[in-house]
Amino acid sequence: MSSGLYIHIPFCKSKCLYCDFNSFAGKDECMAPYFCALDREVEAWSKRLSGKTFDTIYFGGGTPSYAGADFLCGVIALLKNNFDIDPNAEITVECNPGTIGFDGFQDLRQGGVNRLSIGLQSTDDKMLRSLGRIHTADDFETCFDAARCAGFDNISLDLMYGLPDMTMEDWGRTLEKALSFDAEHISVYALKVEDGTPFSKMELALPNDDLTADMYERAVEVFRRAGYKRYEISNFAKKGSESRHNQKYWRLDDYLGIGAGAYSCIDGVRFSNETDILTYIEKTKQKGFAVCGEEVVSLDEQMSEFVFLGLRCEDGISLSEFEKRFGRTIMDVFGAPIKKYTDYGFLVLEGDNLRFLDKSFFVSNRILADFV
Amino acid sequence: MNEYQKNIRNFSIIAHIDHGKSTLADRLLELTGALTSREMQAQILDNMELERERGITIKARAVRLLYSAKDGQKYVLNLIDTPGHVDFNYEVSRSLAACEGAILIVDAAQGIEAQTLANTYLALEHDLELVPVINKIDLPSAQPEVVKKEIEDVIGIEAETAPQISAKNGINIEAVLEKVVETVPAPSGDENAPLKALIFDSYYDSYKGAIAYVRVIDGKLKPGQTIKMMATGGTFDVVEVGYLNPMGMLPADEIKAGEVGFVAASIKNVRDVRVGDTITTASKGASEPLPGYKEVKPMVYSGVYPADGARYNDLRDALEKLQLNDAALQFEAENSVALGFGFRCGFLGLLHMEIIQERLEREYNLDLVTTAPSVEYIVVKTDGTEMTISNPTNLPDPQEIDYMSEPVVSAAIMTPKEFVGSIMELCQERRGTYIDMTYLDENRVTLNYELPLNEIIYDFFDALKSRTRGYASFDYELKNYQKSDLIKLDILLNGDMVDALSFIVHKEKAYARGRRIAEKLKESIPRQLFEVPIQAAVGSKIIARETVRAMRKDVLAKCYGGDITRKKKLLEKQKEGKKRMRQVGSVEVPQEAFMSVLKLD
Repeated sequence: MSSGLYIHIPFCKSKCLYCDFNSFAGKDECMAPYFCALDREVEAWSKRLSGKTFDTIYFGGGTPSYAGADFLCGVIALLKNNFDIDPNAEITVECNPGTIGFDGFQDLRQGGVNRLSIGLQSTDDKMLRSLGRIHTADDFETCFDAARCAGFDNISLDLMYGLPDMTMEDWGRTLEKALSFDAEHISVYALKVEDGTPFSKMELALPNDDLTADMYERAVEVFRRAGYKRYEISNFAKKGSESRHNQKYWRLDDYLGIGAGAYSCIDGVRFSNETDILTYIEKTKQKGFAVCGEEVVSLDEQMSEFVFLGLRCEDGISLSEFEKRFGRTIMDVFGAPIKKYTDYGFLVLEGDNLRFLDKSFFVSNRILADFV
Repeated sequence: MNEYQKNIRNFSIIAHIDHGKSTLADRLLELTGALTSREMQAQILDNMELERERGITIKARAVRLLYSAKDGQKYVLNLIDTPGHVDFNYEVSRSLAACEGAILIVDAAQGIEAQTLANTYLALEHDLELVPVINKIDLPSAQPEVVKKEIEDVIGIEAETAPQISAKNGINIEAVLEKVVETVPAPSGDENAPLKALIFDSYYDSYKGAIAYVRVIDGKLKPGQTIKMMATGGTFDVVEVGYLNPMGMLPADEIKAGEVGFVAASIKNVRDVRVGDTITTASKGASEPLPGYKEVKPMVYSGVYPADGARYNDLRDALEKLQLNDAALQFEAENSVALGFGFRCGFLGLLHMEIIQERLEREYNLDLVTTAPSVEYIVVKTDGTEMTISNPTNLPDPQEIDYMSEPVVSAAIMTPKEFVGSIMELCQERRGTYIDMTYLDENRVTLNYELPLNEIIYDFFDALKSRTRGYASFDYELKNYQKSDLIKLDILLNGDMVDALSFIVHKEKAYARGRRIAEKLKESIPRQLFEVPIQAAVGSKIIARETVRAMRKDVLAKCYGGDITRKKKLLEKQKEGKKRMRQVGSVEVPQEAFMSVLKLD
């Protein structure tokens, strides 16, 4: 089983009002030293991890495209030098409109990038402004077209619903407009107001849970009709365009995270890196690594994660795979909640397969909590 | 009377809550050198954490102070503190019976309140000499002259020379002591007569056993004596006697007529040391006990269950330990379909109930589910037998019941006159019977009502406060049982009856109450994976219905590698939350829901 590589780029042109990721605006002067630090960390890990192969690379952020293609391509080259990377690896870069154009896309393409994830979030300029995005809907269109011209044939776009003042009509228009781009992959996320973000200090007129659930159902329906399959709660793809990288998280495959605040999970141990950019850089100078947290995932936890992450996927989980991995049957471990929720009609058990029903996805926490 | 006895003064302090009783007690201790301020934890008389937080005294305490008065003589002052809440009226009365006088504190800004008056009447019943003191004269809104007049008009005692003090700022405290020495009479009583000692409080010490706090009326108490409890009949050998000082017990050779102190006699159970009982000697004892003993009976009952069923034994142990120190607490095992195994506990009142519940949670680290409080009803069955019911679930079938009666209290409500109308309205709503109304002065009145106890244990006090902007005060005592048209109201969730939510209510109120409870439950039961009907029923008749709609959204939208630990914590938290829920059939009911039916206005 090949593993995934995640590279965190914590720089943004400006920080969105809802964002609680490890990302910063106005720290451009750290960029060059940060990429040097990434080099050091890659080299340190390459010595420690031998025999691992990787078949996905994912640049997330922050806004990787804001750092520029040169830096990113440099990292890809370095990764290829240091790790055993599958020649058909999926290499994704997250981009935001207004930070990259045709030339940049061409450079990325040449550097080996074959998948883009572009942040659209909304097709309504007013809503984009209220989210603190730096682009308009037109900017997105320009950006998307440039990516297509540069030869990208695997593009994902991100949308958000449950936004302040959003009505069902707004959302319907956004969905229609989003479909018109004919992207290969679409992620839709309900806004969650996280502590510490500017949104958490503002008085927002958020749609209630019922309306938000309706919006989700509308999205599922609209995408299904347009030929996108929901393969995970928030992710929709045309056949064959599912994100290979993200699926590793939901299938408990190993992944190595490089960069400030990045997480890794390797052979049953979870690592987390220093989140502060300068601390991260400093630590890589001293040790190569920048790990600040390390946690062995116990067998119980692995079983529980296997279920609660696996059930997020439309295809659910395989009973025989559970038994193969953990040496116990799933009914032995989770018999009671499985019985409860199959009785209630929220889980379906069919042959080797346990999965959610349609109605279960948007209330999944309630069900999954019984599996932790 | 000997010289020593002549210089003893036994007194307590009575006041409305927050009028500064504990603060004055602290000052008296400080001034007499019983404690240096460094030693003094603020408000030492209230030495339970909970008491300090709530600013009320739950159990009585006593201290012995030595005071050199301006007349050049040395006095022994025994200050007996009294609980400051209507739930503990009986204990107050026993403490007062141990005294010859009482300091009456009145807040210079607020004047006389219901409890001031209730306690004053109690004091007067015991022929206590009152020493009025006007406190909080440092407040800008203080009106000492008005309050003086009020004391004279309402209570009818001379207040012209009442010390005007600020306990908080230590102003004029000595004048209080001088007044006590001057006004409160020395105890009468004969140290050579047969022993009579009044128990006014008890305390459980894990080494010495149950200890009685006593006022010796006649005779002497000393180690080696065999004593007898005149009401309960137990006999014990005295191991130790002594005085009570602020830092603990001070052993002495003997305590005699007029004095206040403690007796330890290897008594295993605090129930053998009943407040109000008379101690005498086993041989050649007194022929008659002191008057006024009565067995304290709970007024309010509630089911107390461990949130985690596995902690049933811990809960029992905790209740047993609390009972060691609190003879008024009663409990017996019961079980509920909804809540599992627990206890039906009897309390003196709602405050007592809250205190016990809080102590169980804090001191014994228990998570509790409690059912709505109930009073004790008398059921006369058609076959002529009589039973008392404190748990609605135990009510017999309606066809077996001839009639039921419920406890009724005499309530005194003191209020500025502009609120009389809305208070009368409130009492009317609560099935009250108007008795009379008296003017205290031009502006304030006392309204006397008879009210069914089950109408006031829920939220009467809150309703009263909100309708009078906090100005009215309230005091009550049990009057009698009266025949009443009562029925049992049941609550069904998803079609299943929830026994812990049943309660007994007056027929005329069933419909409104049922509807309010259904509404309340709708608010407190979170949305579940499926729709949950809530029904209120009398017998098989549904009188109210609400629906908790199915939950639509409960999702972690985004879940990536870095998030897994964080998201798992979120699910774990949610799971913890579920543990705090009670599974009733297929419905998860939060523990608060069982209490939410309490506050219906």
